[in-house]
Amino acid sequence: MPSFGDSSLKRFTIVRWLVLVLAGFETLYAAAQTPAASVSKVALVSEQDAVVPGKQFWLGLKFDLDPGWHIYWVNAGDSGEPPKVEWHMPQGFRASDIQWPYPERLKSSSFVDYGYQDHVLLMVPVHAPLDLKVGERVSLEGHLRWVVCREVCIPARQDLALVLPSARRESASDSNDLFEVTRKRLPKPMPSNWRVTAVSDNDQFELTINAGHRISQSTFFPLLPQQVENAAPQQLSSFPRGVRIRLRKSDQLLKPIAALKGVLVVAPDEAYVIDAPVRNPEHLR
Amino acid sequence: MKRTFLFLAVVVCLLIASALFGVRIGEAAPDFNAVDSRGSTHRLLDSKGRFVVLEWHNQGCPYTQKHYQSGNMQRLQKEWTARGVVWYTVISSAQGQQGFVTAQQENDYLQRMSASPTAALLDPTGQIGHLYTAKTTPHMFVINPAGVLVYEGAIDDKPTTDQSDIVTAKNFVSLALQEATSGKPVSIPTSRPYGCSVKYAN
Repeated sequence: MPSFGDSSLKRFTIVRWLVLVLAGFETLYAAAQTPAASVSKVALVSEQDAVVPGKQFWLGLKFDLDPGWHIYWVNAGDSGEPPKVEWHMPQGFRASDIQWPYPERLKSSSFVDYGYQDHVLLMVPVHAPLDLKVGERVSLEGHLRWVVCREVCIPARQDLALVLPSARRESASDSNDLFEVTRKRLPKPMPSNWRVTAVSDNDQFELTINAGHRISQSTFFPLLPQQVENAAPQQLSSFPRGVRIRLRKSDQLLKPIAALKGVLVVAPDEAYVIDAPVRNPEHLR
Repeated sequence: MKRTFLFLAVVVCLLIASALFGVRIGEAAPDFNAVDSRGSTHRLLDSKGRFVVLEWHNQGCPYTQKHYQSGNMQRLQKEWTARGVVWYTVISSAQGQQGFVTAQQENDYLQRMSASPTAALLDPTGQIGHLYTAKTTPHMFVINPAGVLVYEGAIDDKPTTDQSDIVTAKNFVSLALQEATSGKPVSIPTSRPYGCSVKYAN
């Protein structure tokens, strides 16, 4: 048995401390690396293979998530936050906001978030300047920040870049199909013959969609937070000319609102933007 | 047998109701009893006459880390407890879930982070969390000396995990406490809480 003198004991303690500190760093390092990149892969893709001067084109943030992980819609619901992108593009290029495909309800314990699992493309329309010279190489860059969650959340950021030639004509890129599929999931403006209204009572909104035909299934996704209670079940009553949906008011809603805005999904690949004026009864005004 | 069933049914209904009907601004904040990380018991009603802040917490959550690694939360705790406010950090992570801590682990954490809440309440059953419908970490509540809820929501107006956002953020908790302690109505009484979901038992 080796016996330690005072100094070797001290040395042993110091070594042990060093090991502990290093192990600590390693854990921190591992945490910093736990990498959102290993559970969510992101790439910047384009619908077309070239940019045409003066024309609008579409870029997409292509997310591939590991099973069980999700990212968030523009209204994240009870927790989380939507991805945000800061574009760096050559002069004259204008990127619009992300066009959000309709999400799904993600339930965890007693709460509901709105987001996407597995694969999703977040499409962004971009306008190319008219004075763009044909034959140039256009470098499109963006800094993306997002949070990906399962039981736990991992924040992530990544620089994305894509170089496209400018040309007089464009044709479909390899990612073209993905844009086609995703476009069906973008909420459309409400058909002009639809009439929507909402009536407010003490603790719920009754949203009536008069579509001229029976709507037997639907899910409402509120575009603004603090209007409806995300986790509350939505009670549907279908009628020959549409559907009536009862939505529980958010506990955080303290004042009457003028309009209830959201996305109504009535079937797969069929979603509409709803902006229903709210009728508030006398005593709630 | 029948009576037990009826009792259970009532309990379940109450639980569902309490999960659906959270606390509301202007209403009495529900009372609770809790044990803190040092083994002391706290009852909300005992703090009548003082302002109380409830801070839902999960040390593994990047949104919580934003406010602790920057020292933002500790600054608030120090400032307001010095002014007589009772500050409860509440941990509702269930055992096995992210953010669950033993009393010792929490005490080590408080010391390491130089955090100084009045107490860190351990709520692994999620009882207090469900009572208040705490959704995220952080999720902040401010209760006035009469026991009435005057603020509920986010800590500030920058729902991100970036520490650099804190400098320019409007802190809703400070604002509510400043206004309420000087006898003014709270101008922003609610906001969408942002953060990780509270890791309740499934």
